[in-house]
Order: sequence, then structure tokens, then C-alpha cells
Amino acid sequence: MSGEDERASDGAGEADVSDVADRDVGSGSDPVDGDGRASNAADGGASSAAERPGDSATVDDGRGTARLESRLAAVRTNPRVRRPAFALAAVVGLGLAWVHWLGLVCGGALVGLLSPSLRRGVVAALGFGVLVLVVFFLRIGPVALVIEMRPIVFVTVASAFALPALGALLRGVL
Amino acid sequence: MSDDFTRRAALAGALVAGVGGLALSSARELLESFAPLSGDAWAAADRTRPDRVESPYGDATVRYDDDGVPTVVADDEPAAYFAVGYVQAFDRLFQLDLQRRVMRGRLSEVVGDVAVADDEFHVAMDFVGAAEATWELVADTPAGPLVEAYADGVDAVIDAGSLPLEFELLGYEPRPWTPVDSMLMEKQISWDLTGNFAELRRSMVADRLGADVASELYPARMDHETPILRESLEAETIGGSGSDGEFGAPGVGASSTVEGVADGAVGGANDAGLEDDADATTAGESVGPALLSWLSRFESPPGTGSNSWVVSGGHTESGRPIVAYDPHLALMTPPLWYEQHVETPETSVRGATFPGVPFVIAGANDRGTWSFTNVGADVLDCYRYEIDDDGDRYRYDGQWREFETDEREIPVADGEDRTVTVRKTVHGPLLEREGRTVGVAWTGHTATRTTEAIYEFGRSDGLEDVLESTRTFDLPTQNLVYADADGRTLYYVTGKLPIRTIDGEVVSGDRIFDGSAGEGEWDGFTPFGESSWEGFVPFEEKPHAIDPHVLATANQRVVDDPDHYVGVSYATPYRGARIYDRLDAALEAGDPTDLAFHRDLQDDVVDGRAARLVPDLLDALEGASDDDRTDAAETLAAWEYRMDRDSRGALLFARWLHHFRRRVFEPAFGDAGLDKSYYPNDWVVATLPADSPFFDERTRAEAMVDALEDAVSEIDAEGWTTYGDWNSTRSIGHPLGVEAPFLDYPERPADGSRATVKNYRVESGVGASWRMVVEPGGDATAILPGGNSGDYFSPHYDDQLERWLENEQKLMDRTVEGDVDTTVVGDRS
Repeated sequence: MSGEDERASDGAGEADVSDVADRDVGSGSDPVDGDGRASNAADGGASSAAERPGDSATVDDGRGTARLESRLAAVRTNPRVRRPAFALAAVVGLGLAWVHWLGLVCGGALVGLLSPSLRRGVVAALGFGVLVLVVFFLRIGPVALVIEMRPIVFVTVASAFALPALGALLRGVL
Repeated sequence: MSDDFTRRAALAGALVAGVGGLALSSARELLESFAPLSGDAWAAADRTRPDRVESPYGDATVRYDDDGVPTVVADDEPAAYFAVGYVQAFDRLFQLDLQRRVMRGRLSEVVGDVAVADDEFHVAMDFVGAAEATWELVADTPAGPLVEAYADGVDAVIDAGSLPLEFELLGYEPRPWTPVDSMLMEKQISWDLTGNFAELRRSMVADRLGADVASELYPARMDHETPILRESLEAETIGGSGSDGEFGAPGVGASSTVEGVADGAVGGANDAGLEDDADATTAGESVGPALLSWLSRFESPPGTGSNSWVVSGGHTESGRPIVAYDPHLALMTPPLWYEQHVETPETSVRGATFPGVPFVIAGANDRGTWSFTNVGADVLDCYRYEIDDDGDRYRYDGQWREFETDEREIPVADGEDRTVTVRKTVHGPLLEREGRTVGVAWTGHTATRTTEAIYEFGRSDGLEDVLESTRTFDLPTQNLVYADADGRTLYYVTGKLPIRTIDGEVVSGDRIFDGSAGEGEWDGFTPFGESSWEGFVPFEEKPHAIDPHVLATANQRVVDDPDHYVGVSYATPYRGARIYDRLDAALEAGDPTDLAFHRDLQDDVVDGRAARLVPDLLDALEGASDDDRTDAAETLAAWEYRMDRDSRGALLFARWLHHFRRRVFEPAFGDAGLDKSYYPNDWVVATLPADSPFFDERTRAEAMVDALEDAVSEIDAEGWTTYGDWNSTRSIGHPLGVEAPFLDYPERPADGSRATVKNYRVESGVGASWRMVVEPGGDATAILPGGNSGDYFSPHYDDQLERWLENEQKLMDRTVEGDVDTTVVGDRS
């Protein structure tokens, strides 16, 4: 539990880096109270976030969105659930990325949605990009040959990071 | 509206805009090709040879050796050549497709506007028409069904859809392969070897600089004493048989059948072409620099040539003859040649072929070994015509004739398609640029039987068989060097040598003929149809030698006094002289040679130009007080004329010669509007006398010293220290190397120059495109400049490059060993 709390706190403590990231720390769990009190969400803010009457986004999105956010919040705050969910999201993302480049965006979105904050979602998406590249190089075989494939390989490496990171922006929406 | 909503909306907008932007822009194509995991390009990395392939021609097996050379085994030839088509296509499919696109004039279709001028030339020359005529002839020969089986083998790879990386980079898929495409490959290599507009250039120089200058700089005959068929060797090796025309007996030689016709032929060519023929002099200008410049782009690459030699069993350790061969053709990624081994009940043959050609072109079977070097024969003539104002008709035989015309489309990727009107006369295609025209007759512009000959070489059972097959080898003109397991040796000029006449008198071909007057026509020649040997030098009268003890070809003059005009575009004699010198020395010493000796001779880097020029340069530098000059003089004085990659002297000499040539010729040629492509060859540069008009303003010695200063300055500025810093493999490029440089081979320092036996020309990317040393019926070794596979992801893409640089040849045996990699399963039943 302490690890999770630390990560949440870390995210909250990065308010000086990015306003978006700063406010987003609580956005999934507490969209109103976005000033860094992520620990509240970790302590049980999942249900309150879903039920908070003054939350315009929640009201506008209706019950479905509310339930989704509620479940996401539950996953985000429970490491025992989140870790396997992360793994599952990564596998699903890999599968999607295997068939289309938009799968990289989806993969980043999936791992991002499971992250406690937008900032951490982007970091997770970048981690997903690393995973994609590892699997890619394992699949291709002659790593040195691929690395020499400049400038083509620049597209490959850049898309492995940029597309998941783009997908992770969804974390700031949901 | 809350800040949070705004923030969410902004993020959602960014996400949608990002994805939409990628999906709707050109970035989508990049991602579809190169995104990790899903990128289409990565399918090329997954290409694996299938365990099983179905064939309509019967069973075959394919085994690859440690160098990626396939051994195809089958119980009948169609089954074998289906498999050959399969393995060639699997390893070289992009090369196959690119070559036929070039010859068909369809390059612009995949690379865009940049190739339009190339396509216009190839369409105007109608190489396809010549290939179609050739296929009509070949289809009914025993080789025809095998070419069809081969084409089906290529298509099996295309149909499987597992394409090499280059197709993804260019974004297209190849069309099915046809037998005509294989015939086009024959036309391509023949054009690369004999497509020469030298007479136009000579005429242009004569027009601009004067006939005397042209005569001095473009001698019809270089003054050296090492032709292929030497007088000194005649008595010893090919003379005195007294069996004229009897191929089975030793000693029938060109020299013995030649009776001093050179004065009337070659000499006459010089006179008529460059000095006395006023019409010819104005003819060069009539063609015009624009047309000539355009045509020059498509000639044989500078330096195209080769080495081959044979010594009889009397001079070898094993008692069998030895043939050594290294063709100097364009070096590229992947190599021009493909090595293959085919085992059928009819033959066991291994060697090199051009991708797209089913049969081994240069190699060995169980009974003999054969090789080809370029003769330098004149087999292309140029004609000027009287053409009417509308450009629709030309004057011929006292009448106006309509051009035979055909409209052809040139599709252009991302550009406007072009239409080319192909025009032909009775002689062949008419080429036009900026209103200037020239008619072309080329021996390849007719149906030819070389495919049949090459097929028969593979099945031959010794010298007699090969001689018979050589009769059908009508394109291109090559120096055939052959030896068999019985100890027989052979030299023969292949191909058709045209006989031209003007008013009934035989003339040479190095001039522009008046096509309207019917000058210089080749009797028996039907462009784009089927021709006869009438009007060409009869087979028995072509230069040849049966059972020579030692004979070397390096594109030098074939024979001093030929019966018939052969040509004037011979190579400088440096390589030929060096090979003969070393062979003579070995033979005189009585030391029997072995394969290692001949490989070592292939590796020889002594430069005959340096032996001629460096002493004069050192004399010119005598007394130099300048430090740079002194250092350079000391380096050159200690240098032994070896063009080694780690030599400082070789670097100084190579760059000095470049600047010397420029200093001597640039002023006059520049003033005349002639660029460096018109400069004379190295032999002329080296032998240009001190009292030549080119040394009027600056003496030869002054020019030499000035050139050395230029060279030292350039070397210092570039930071070069040894020859290999400049003479590197950087010019061995892939066709897509500019856009995708990773496809090029790694750059390495290289030995050799354009004048050394170990031949390498960094400026033009020409050199030993294949080396082999073979003892017929015995051991054989070979090496490629790169690798046998054109697949970037294959371990055999460049695994021979380092060995090629060192001339460390691998075995070229004909054993069938190892596990089967691919089983070709016949479905005839």
C-alpha cells in the first residue's frame, strides 16, 4: 500500500512541473479537488468521485461514464488489481499494435487509463513503448541490422513512444 | 464551463487531432510501413525460405551452402529450372524487377520524374521489341521450355507475396515474370558490354578540336605489343598446326588465318573517320552535344572490361588446364552476378549468372569451364538521314520512306505520364534529342540465340561441344576462354561482327554513315526480326586459337592484323601486359602453377601507368626545395607502383594523375565545350609526347609538377593519408542507397586501380564483379563482391565482401551435401 501511496503522492508533488499533470492527479478520482490531494482518492475517493453532485463532467457523461470512472478509479487505487490490469492492458495493446499502428495509440490509452494521473499515464505509455520495441526487436531478430536502418528506424522508434503517449492523453479525459 | 471541462476538452481535442492528423496525412503511409510490429516493411524481415514449394514441373530439392549458394537437384531439367527461378527470385526479386523496368522504360512508374530521361531512351531503343523477337526464336529451342519453367518459378515467389524490403520502400508489387523478361536480361548485359557511341564522340572532338588532335588523342590502334593473340606465342602455342578449319586438331588460330588486313581496316577507319572524310567530320556536329550527352548516359559504364586467362596442363601442378576469370562490370548492392549450382541427369553445372537468366553464364560443369571477357568490338553503327520537314519521312534508296512509328506510354509515379513516339528506319531505331537525330543499328536489335548457346555450354561434354555451341553465340561479342578436363584449351571471339561497305568497298564502323545513301549497311540484318550470318564475319574467320598453352585477355586489342575489322574501343594494355608478364615469367621459370598462383595473379596491384609516368615525374621534381614537393618525391621514389590500400605513394600517384590529366586537357577541351568525358585514355595521357600542342603553354614537366601540387593540396584538404582513404568501396551502392543508405554495403578501403589486374575503379564503381579460378574436372574457387542474397536481412547479404576485398575465394565445388532446405514438390501427377 505504501508504494501506491508514494506513487500517488509523487504525482501530486509534481504540480510545479505541469499544470495539466498537476491538476490531473486527482482528475480521475476527484476532478474538483485537483490540487494534489490524491491521497484522498487513494483512501476511498473512488466512490465519492462518481457520486459527487457538483461534478459537471460526471453529470454530463451520465451513469455509464460514471460507472466507468468509478471502476477505473478502483483499479487505479488498488495495486493488487492495477498490476494485473496493467499487464492485461499491455498485452491487449501489443496485440492491437501488432495489427495496426493505431494499436500503439490504443495501447498507450489503456495503460494510461489505469494510471493514477495523466503524468503517470504518459510515463506508463512510454514504458509501453519500450515494451513494444523490445518485442519488436525480439521478433525481427538481427537488432543491429534494424538499428542501422536509418532514417527508417527513426520512424519506428519515434512512433513506439509518441503514439502511446498520444493515446495516454485519454487519461486526462477520463 | 469549468476549468476541468475545458481541460478535458482540450486533451480530447489534442488526442483526436493527433490521431486524425496522423491518419489523414502522409504520416499514415510511413506508419503503415515502418511502425513497430505492424509495419508492412517488417514482413520483409520475416521472410524465410519455405520448407515446401509446389511446382507444376516435378520434384526438386534445394540446399544452400554456408555462403547462401543454392544447389538445385532434380531428375529433369524443367523441374530444376522452376526451382532455379524460385531461388533466384527469393534472393534477388527486386533486382530482377528493377532490371526489367530499366530495359522496358518503366522505371518512372515507381520512382517518378527522375527516371523519365532514362525511360525515354530505353523505350526509343525498343529493347523490348528485340527481346520479343528473341523469345520467338528461343521458344522453339530446347532452352525454351526451361525458360518458361524458370519464369513460373519466379512467379511462385511473387504469388507467395513475401516480398523483399525494397518493394515496401517503393510501395509497389512486381508484375508476373515472363520469358521475354529473361530475354531482356540478355539484351541488358549485351548493351552494357557493347552499347557504345564512341564514333559520335570522336567525331565531336574532330569537329571541335580538329582532325589531327582527334587522331592523336583517339588512336585507332594503341602502340603496344601485347594483343590477346601474340605473334610471339603463335609459334609456340597456336601456330604450325596446319589444320586450318579443323577444330578438333590443335593449332588453328586467328593469327595463322589472319593476313595483315589491319592497314585496310583499322587504319582505314582512322583515316576515314577522323581525318579525310569531310562528311564524317561534320557528322559529329550534326548529332549535336545535347543528343550525344543524352546518349552517353546509357553507354557501357567506363571501365567495363574483364580479365581471363588460361594455361594448359603442361604448366600446372595437376596436369590439367587452369582458367582464371574476373569480369569488371558494375559493382553494386547486391552484386550483378548470382551463384547457383544445378544438378540434373544431363549435367552438373555451377557458376555465376545474371539474375533473370536461368542458366549459368560463366562457370564449370563436370567436363569443362568457360568464361567471357569483352572484346571491345564495334557492333553498333550510327546513321544520319535526310529527313523531311515534317519529320515523318526519311530519304532512303532514292525514295522517301515513312518511319515505322509506334506510340508508347511511360507511366510516371506522382507525375504526368509521357508519350514517346518510337521511330525506326530500315537500320533500326531513330533517336532524337532537341531536334537532332541519329539512327542506330546494334547487333542486339534482332533475334539472337545466345540463350540457347549458354544452355548448351552447361551441358557440354568438352571442347568440341563448346565449339559447336559457340556458333550459335551471336550476342554479345566476347572473348571466350575455355578449357576441358581432357586438357584442351580454347579461345574464340563470340558474337556477330558486322561487315560494312560503301560503294562495294569494305570499311570500318567507327564513323557516322549516311543512312540515306545506304552506307555501311549490314547484309542479312533484320532489326527486330530474325537475321542471318550473311553480312557478318563468318564463324571460321573470327579470331580464335585452339589449344593455346597460355593466353590472356584483358580487353586489349585482339590481334595485331585481323582479317576483318573488329573495332577500336580496346582497353589500355596495362592489365594484359602485366598478366602476360607474370604468366611468361612463371612458364619460363618452369614452375608449374596451381590455383593459388592464379588467385595471386588476380590480386596483382602493380600499376603500369606508374611505371611509365613516375620516373618522369621524379625527374621533373629533381632539385625541388619545397617541403611538400620533397616529401612527395621521396614517397614516390620509394613506392613500388603497387596500388595497395595502405600505400601513401599510391594515393599520391592516383590523385596526381587525375590532376595531370585535367591540367593537360582542361584548357583546350573547356574552350571547345567538351567536358572531361571526352578526355583521352590513360595510355594516351602517359605517352603524350613533350612536343604535343597540349604542352605549348606549359611544358610536360611543369604540368607534372603543378599537378603534384594540386594533388598534395587536395590530399591535405581531404585529410587522406593512404590510398584506401580515397579508393574505398563507397561507390558500390544500392539503387535505393540515397534514400535508404543502410542498404549499401559498409564502406571499406580497397586495393587496385583501373589499370591493375586487381581491378577497381572507385570513380565509376566498376571492378571485379566475380572472380573464379577453375581446374576443369578438378578444384574450383570463386568469390562475389558482396553476397549471394539481395535480402537485406539475410546473413548472405554481404558475407563475401571482406573476402572479396582480400581475394580469399571460397570453394565452388559441385558436390551435393547437407540437409534439404526446400523441397519442390511436383504436382504433375
